[in-house]
Amino acid sequence: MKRFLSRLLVIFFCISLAACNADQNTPAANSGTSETSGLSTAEISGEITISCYNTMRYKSFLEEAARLFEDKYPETRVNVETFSAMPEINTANQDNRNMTAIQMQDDPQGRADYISRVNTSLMSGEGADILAMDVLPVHKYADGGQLENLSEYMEADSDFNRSDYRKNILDAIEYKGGTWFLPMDYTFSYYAYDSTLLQGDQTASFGTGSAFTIGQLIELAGASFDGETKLFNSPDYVRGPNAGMFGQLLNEGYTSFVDLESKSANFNAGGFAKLLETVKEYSELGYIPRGVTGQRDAGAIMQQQPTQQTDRYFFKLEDNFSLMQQFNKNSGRKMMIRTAGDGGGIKDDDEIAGIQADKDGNVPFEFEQAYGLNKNSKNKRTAWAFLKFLLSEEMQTSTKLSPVALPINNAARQQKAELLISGAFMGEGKELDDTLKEVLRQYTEAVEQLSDQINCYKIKDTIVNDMIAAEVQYFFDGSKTSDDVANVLQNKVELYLGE
Amino acid sequence: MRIPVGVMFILPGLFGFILFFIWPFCISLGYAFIDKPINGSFTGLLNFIELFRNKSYLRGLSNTIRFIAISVPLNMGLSLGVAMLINKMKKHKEFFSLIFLVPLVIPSGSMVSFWSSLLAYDGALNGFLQTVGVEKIKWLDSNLALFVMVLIFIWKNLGYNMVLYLAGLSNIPKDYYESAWVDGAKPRQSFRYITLLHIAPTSVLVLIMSMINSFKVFKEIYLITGSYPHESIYTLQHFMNNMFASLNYPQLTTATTVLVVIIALFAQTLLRLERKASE
Repeated sequence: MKRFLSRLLVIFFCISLAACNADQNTPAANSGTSETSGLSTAEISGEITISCYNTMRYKSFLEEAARLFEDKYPETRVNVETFSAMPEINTANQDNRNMTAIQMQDDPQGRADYISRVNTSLMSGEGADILAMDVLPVHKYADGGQLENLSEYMEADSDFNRSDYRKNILDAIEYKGGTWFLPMDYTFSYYAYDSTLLQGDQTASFGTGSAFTIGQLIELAGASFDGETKLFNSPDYVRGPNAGMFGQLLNEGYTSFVDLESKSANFNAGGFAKLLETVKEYSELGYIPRGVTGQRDAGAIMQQQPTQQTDRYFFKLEDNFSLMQQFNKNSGRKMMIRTAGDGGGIKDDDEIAGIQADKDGNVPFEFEQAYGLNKNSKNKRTAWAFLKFLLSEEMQTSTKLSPVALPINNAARQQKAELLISGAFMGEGKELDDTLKEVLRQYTEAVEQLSDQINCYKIKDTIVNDMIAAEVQYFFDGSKTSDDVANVLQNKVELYLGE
Repeated sequence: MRIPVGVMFILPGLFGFILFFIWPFCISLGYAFIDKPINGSFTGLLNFIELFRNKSYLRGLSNTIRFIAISVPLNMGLSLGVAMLINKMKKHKEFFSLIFLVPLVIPSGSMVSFWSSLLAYDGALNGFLQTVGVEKIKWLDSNLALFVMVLIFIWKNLGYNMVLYLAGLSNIPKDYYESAWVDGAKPRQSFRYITLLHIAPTSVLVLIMSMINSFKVFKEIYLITGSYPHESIYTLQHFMNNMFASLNYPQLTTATTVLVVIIALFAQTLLRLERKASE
């Protein structure tokens, strides 16, 4: 009986090993070189699926893109899959102004479930042809060989011209010698200063060609600080994925605490504890306001609007979309956009100080939409054609895209700026008169000069960020000391990266 | 070859066992010898060498060994003690047995909710400590977390082992104890030369079951503390669960293979020793 069972097990073992080898010889498992030959002349047909987590951000844009792509290539079919629930939308009327707030709840469990679902489908040799990189760990997929190296596609396709897109963005996203995802757009943050509070020599180094860290700005404003007017509008701590002043300082020194490429953590060398103490010190010195509700609550934000708008701050951290407001203010049209964690403040006298940089002088960017190509895809040519279509002028100027992010397609970026300034993007377009043309010229010049400084994309890991967010709240609510938090994070992140 | 009738009866069950346990294990074993889950190339024993250089794996392994070394003997000792006490009772034996069996049937979700609210930093236990003037303790975020894990394991599994020991104790003839008492043996001597000797086979079974159950406590610990708990309770199961979540199938299957080999060798050794002792 023992011999019979032993023989049976050996047979099963041999069959399973043979099965593993057979998987590696199937056409889908072969390397991408055969897939990239003749890309520009390849027939575009077949069915592809594109999968993303964030429904609000992706769904309407992708469905429009799918429809137009299918019209262009009748032999194709594009399926769009989204995962998260649509966010709650609140509207209110205050002082005869209509305000709409979109409450996006952070859902770590939902994200984890989606990532788990994608992982399982990838491991079973399936999965969507195109994966949105909104929550997926792109560097892990790249390390595990689950994504196609898009550099090969870009080089092999004669219809793809790198000079049509922002070169420094495409260079910044390279990871371990390859391009594993393509961003459709980019955003950056810059510092604005209140010109009534800072003048003369203090502002000599400010401009669209400059880059600053928080520490540098504090040094520049030093003599003018009177203890009454706060230096920054970012509160010390806002609950959520690393927002507020803590989030900004963390981003400045992120790679000194976590290096995902070399898989090392450095929280307990003193730097992280010092960062936490610095944030607390800034709050005590009156540099920054204290965090209010600690919640990314749209209702609470809307209630805070009246008081926030009457405060002045030396510096405000703005995103690139605020440049629209910056150059529009002289045209008589006011645009007021508040995001959760934004401290607000009077913006009428704001001028550009410089782009946000980290401690090493690098200028990072973020994206709203980015996509990778699944190595398991059975129709990579059509998937690549769809990615190129998403990067085209037609799709990059779509009104279904967020108005905030800047298209990486150079021509589309200019066109979108025109649409935004004329109001056509929001459906209330008017012809550009001389004033608006000047606004457009100043806006695009500022955007391009600030964008030219971008030179890096910081790989972040949602698991590490969730660990940081979960522990840091104990410091700000007084439960733990900065050293305790730093030590706990060191152990946890080290365990995670060590795996 | 004439197949015995007994084998015919167990074949369906055996077929299911092979299909759902042995076959998937053998399939996944292939991943232990390649470098990447997709389009991986053969690496021989490199994954096994890398595994024993992996700090997180070594941390998980040492924590698992430490946990088993503390919790299993403690659980066995306590469950034997409780079984002996219940065995001596003349009334309400079933009632007291049931009390100790209740934790075994409580759903994990309810159990987790209870332990979380009790042991959280702002939980009930720290609340009580504050009222008596004692500082709050980080039960789950310090080296005490290991003892919390041992407590949860014993609370859940004591009843199971107690039932096994009760069965073993009930098989010991009472005449042996009476003869020993007549011969002037002390209770300690009766325990050592009669009780311990006769429940040796039961003890081997309890030891194996306790070791298997010690791995299952991961479920509750994971639900309370997440994928990356305090370093003192980061076990092999955390490592393997995280490997699955991050698609690192080669490392996952390497770790499970090593674990299967260790447990198989341990169980074999134990059963052989028990057989020799019986002879």
